[in-house]
Amino acid sequence: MEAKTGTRIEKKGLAQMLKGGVIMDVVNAEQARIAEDAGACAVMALERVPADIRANGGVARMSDPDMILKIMDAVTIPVMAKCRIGHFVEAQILEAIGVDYIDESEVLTPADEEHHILKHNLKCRSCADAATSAKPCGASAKARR
Amino acid sequence: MKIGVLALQGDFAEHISMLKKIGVETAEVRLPEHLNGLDGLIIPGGESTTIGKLAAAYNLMEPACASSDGPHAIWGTCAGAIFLSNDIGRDQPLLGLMNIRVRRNAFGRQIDSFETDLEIDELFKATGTEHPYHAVFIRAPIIESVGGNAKVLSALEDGRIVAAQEGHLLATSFHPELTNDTRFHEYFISLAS
Repeated sequence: MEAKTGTRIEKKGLAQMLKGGVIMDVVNAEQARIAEDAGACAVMALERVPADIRANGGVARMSDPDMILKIMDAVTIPVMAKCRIGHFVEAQILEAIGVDYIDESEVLTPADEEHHILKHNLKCRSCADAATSAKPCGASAKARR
Repeated sequence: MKIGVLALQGDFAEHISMLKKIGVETAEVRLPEHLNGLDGLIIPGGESTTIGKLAAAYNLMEPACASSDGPHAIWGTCAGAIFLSNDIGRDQPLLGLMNIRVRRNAFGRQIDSFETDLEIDELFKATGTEHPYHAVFIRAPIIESVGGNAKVLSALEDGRIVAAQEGHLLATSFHPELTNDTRFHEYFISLAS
């Protein structure tokens, strides 16, 4: 039998592995290592606190892929990253660089007021449907299912 | 027959529901005293670094290894297999009970996670079945080599080892608890009894 990747059981399974663990927000490789050493089960790669960016009138986007890659190199635990709601190209970039888990997040500036990303096209886990996972996003993510 | 599942982090609930499906009494293990009177212990999938640190913090390392009043048989799935091994080439808390060398995240990241069918003769013999075992690998480790009395239970077509057994100790790179196939849990029960 050919090995199958990106299946529903694979995506759901990763969320099941994170249960009961702490997912730390980190902004660079050094913080990611500290989080891993402290026992975090995953890290969320963020550039700045999105709420601060938006409060200053800016557009909170996906984090710099270069920064995310450095964090991925620094730790052995899963690395998550956020993309804007409805911004499927950001999600494709995150998928292409190999993040383990994409959070289509309401804390970033929404790119589409009407629609979410069609997550089934993505091979990695998308957080917006993760009702059972130890996810870092808020209650609204669950409501979006 | 009572099987404990290390319930510090990871998919312990999925193991417990598999055990209930085959009618086995279960217990969640979070403290050393929870190990008393167990016939077997399952270490679930999760993050091995997290599970290791929590196990050390809750003084579970020594009692889990004690053969006198501790569990008779131990099975580690994925992170649990890493935790059971005695060599992973990096510094993190390990039980070190099994003579296997394990490499973490050996297939790559989550986009490389996969499902495939395995031929596991020992399992087929023990359960009187013939159909392939459908295995789910998630950011999985591989068993690079087995030493001592450890033997290979199953390998991929390219020879990479994904399941090993050493006496009453069992290690699998994949996650039987995420399937509906109870054969691996039945096999473990046969080791624990």
